[in-house]
Amino acid sequence: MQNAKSPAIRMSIVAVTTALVAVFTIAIRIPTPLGGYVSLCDVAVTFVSYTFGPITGLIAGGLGTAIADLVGGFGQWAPVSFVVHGLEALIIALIVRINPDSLFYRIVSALVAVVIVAGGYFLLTGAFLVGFGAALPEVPANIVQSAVGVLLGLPLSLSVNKAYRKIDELKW
Amino acid sequence: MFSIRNLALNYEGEDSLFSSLSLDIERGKPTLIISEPGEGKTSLAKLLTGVADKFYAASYSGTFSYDGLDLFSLSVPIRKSYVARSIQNTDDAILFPTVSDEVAFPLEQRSLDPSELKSTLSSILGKYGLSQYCDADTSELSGGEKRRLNLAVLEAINPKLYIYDEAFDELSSKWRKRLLSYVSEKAYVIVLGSHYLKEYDGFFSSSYELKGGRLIPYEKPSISFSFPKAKPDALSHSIELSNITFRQEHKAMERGGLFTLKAPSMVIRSGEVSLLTGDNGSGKSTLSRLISGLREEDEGTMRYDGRRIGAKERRRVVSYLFQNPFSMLYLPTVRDELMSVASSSEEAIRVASLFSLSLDSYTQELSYGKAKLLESAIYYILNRPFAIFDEMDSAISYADTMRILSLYLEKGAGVLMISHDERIISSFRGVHYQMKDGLLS
Amino acid sequence: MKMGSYIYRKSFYHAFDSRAKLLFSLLFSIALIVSASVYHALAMAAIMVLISFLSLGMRETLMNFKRILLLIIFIILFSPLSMRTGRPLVTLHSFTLITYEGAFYSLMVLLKFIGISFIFSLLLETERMEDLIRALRYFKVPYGVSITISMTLSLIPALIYRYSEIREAMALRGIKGRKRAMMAPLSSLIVSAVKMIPDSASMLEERGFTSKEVPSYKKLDMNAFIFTQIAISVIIPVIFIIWR
Repeated sequence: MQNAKSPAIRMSIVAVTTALVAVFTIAIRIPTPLGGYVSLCDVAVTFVSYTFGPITGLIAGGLGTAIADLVGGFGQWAPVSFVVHGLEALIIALIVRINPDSLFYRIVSALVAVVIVAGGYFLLTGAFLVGFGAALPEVPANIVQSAVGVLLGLPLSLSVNKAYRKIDELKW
Repeated sequence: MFSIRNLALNYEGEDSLFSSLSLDIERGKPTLIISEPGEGKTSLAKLLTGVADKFYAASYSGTFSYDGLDLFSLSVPIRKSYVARSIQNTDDAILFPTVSDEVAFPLEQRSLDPSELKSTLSSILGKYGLSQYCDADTSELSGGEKRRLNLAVLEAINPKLYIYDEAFDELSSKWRKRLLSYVSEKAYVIVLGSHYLKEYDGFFSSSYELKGGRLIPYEKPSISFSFPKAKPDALSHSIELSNITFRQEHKAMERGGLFTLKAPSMVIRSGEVSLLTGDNGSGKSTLSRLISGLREEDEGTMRYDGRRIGAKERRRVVSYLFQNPFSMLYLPTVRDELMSVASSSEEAIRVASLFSLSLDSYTQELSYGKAKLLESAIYYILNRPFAIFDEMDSAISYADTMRILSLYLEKGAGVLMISHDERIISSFRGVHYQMKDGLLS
Repeated sequence: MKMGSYIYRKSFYHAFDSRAKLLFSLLFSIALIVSASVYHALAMAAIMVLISFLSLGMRETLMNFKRILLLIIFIILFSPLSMRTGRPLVTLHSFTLITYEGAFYSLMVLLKFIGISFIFSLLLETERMEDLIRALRYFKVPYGVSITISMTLSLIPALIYRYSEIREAMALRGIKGRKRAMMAPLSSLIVSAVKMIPDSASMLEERGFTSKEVPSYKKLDMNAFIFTQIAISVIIPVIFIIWR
């Protein structure tokens, strides 16, 4: 692709990946045995970070989840989601960059992601939104959600990369 | 005058689409180019505006100039004052959330002064019947409205040469006539289409067909051509609808209330083809979703071989070939897809060659037409008693459409074919259902 | 699918300039966060609930409460338990359940949460997304960024619709295996989205986009009235910040 890095392409990459993260957060959920839902936003964040690199990942992960919060009626969570998932995406992408072919680094990035998400939400919602007392019960749910997300993210990105070979051209 | 000389184009890793295309577009002389799906008309449009090589990894040769100015030397955003195109697939043609933002964007890029911008915007919106939608969400528009929105955007770009790519599709006959009158006001025009419409009669100065990579003068084919014969001695199954009513909320804004679909009676039989026609928005795809079991009827009964059948069981008995074939594909290669439904690799190989598919192709790299063939192949293997072909002729050639139809009929399937192509409709001899405003007759 | 929470009404808060509203929301949230007295926080939360009632009506205000009800309950139940230092207020046998300080802390958390929730809800319910983006542009958010955000907002409903189409098509086809049946629509959706990237880039440039900043067709002008609104939306929160 000539001019793979033109502003129009970069903007389109960011817009599409951000929209994907938002859609996974808003519309893609799997039911849990407890009767609630687990949102698969971390699947999308993981996928975007693995496939598109740290900068796109940071924007898509942070902005995508923030927009999902804003349009879904939970706007007060938007700044928290932005920081937490933006950081998650950035760290995942940077860790995996050390050795993209190694399963070990992928697992490490998954573990770090779960800590960032569960810990980040606890600290930030505790400090600024609901207080640490009310933030604590959410922690196990966040651990489960982000764990499911990052664990599904790897096989999903593998199957997408297998199916659509041209995707490599879109890293920046 | 716009001059195209010796144009050749190929996408990376593929055969060339055309190799020596030459054409002149003169002022006041609109040109029509008809070609079957897959022959390259949209690629031609993309090449002329400059995006085929910039964003779609195409290589090309040849020249394209306007009164001596070499247009290929201009970057895409500069070239747009000379040439711009409408986009065939209106769902993918929208950039912004509101109608007025969408039409205003090209106007903003033209650096008009603010009062001129405002008045141009409202006149273009009025021209395409979009004024009352100016604050509407673009995602809530109907197919015809999306088409008019894309045409409004093209008008806002205001190029010298207008390329209309399948622009008449999805428009009601009132809007087709209006569009033609707007087209006649433009100085330089190319209209691209896969079907010849009767509205075109007497309008174009030159008409061509793009076939086999070359432009040849267009000859209107004789109207009728043969449908495959029904198979009378097929295992006889039938699906019967009686007094079906289905209600759902209108997607579009402010149209308010409920869309009600009524199908008083309909029968589809094994080994036969039935035709379903109707304007966009009349309810054809809603009816298809009902029959195939994606929706449950509110009132009335559906019977399979005389026995009542519910939505869930209908799904196993009807193959609904969605308009967009990529919706149902998820495995990496053609071989993977066919093997997931075939009972043996011999069957997969046989069916692949029957549908002109290469087993090693990657599904996501297939052209729209080939993906449609793959979709048909998968359902062919699944061999359910009934099939619904949704606008198949807009994705693949007439010949391929008829060939696939006869393959299905040979296997004894009962096919409901949805089309809005005039050639097909006028050649058809058989049960013809029409859908208008939700009522089936 | 309607994107966003915008509710059409003709209220003073709806008419309030979007730039002023954005500033007010930001600064008032900060004022709430740094609040140190119950009366202070109560006043601020009450102001937001009042604005909600005046501009959206009782029903929508109750809906705003309903959305955060579960968390309000969590705060009432768990916050006191998390802070049990100080003078006992409620004891069970010899075990201190709630202290004065804990009760104070919990009340503060509750009021701040309600206040901040209403600030955000009101912002999004009285202002259209595209107008908020235009306000951001006024505050020097780069042109390319605002275009990208607009594109994202239109891609979201399109992708959600694609996803439901994909799920239907796959349900009809029938896919064997639970894991496959779950992953298949996800990977199909992702590929379908990624294929839109060159399409979007083409459309941007074919419509004339060159990264050069061009003025918006809905230009936000400035006059004495709007300046006053901006002044109010800054001064009021600042007063609350200073007297906290």
